[in-house]
Amino acid sequence: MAFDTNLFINCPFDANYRPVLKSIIFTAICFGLDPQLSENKDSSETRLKSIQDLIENSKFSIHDLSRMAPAKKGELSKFNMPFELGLDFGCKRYKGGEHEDKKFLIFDTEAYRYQRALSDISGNDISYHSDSPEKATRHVRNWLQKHQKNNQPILLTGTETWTIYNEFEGNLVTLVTKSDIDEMPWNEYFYHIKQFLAGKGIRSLTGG
Amino acid sequence: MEASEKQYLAERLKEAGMSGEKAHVISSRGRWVIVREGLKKAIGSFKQESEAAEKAKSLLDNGITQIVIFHNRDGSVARILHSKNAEVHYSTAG
Repeated sequence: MAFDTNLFINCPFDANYRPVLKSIIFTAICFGLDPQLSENKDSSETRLKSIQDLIENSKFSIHDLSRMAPAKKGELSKFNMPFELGLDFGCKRYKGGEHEDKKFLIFDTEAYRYQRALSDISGNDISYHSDSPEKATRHVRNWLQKHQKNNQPILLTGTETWTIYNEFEGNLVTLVTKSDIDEMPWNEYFYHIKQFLAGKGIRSLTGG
Repeated sequence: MEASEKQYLAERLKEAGMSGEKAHVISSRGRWVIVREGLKKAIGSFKQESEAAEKAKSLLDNGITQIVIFHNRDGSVARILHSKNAEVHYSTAG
């Protein structure tokens, strides 16, 4: 796995979050990154070992804390995502070498909410998507621009990226059924994004 | 999905997006924007979704585009309108 182009995405995998996740994945691939999801990995490994490997092998990470709070009264808070964020901070701090250059984008759904639960992370790149895939797209694009090598501008604006994502979703629906799309394994979804972008002449825009 | 179907889909997706046959009505920065595939500049930007829909239908009626894909705010597809006014509805989420 190529450390410099891997993007670990630490997020929920429920159906309500899926539109945000799809837009993040599309934007990442658009800019030459290779999304790494724990859902995509071999189930024979323990889940924690698999997540540790993804963290260790990814220069970029997006940690979405928007589902920390219980969805319903009586449910417990979810600690997986803050826990994995902590693992990633640990990797950056203690692993050494290229890991010291790890880049994190932390998402939450509303401004400053994280401070009530996880104030230690103040001062990091924290953005708010309000559960909007469009906002998530623009934030991811701008975050990647911020960490672009040599400060070269990346070729697509946030608006262009969001437009192309809509075009991709529209074309996919004209070719396969909605249920096929909903059941599509993530690696297959990644592959189709790459094919679509290649057809539009968009490939590896960040240059790694 | 069979491997041959996947390959077919991949090839079609690679071809898609540049034909100019399709226009999309998308939500962008709080407005409804019509974009035609292969063109960099938007055809129009409207405050109301209904205004964008009216303009998009006129593109179909005038043969400027063959298909209009209406998107929900989350980017998913709400409905597709073909040039012969055949309409396919999808989810109304987002």
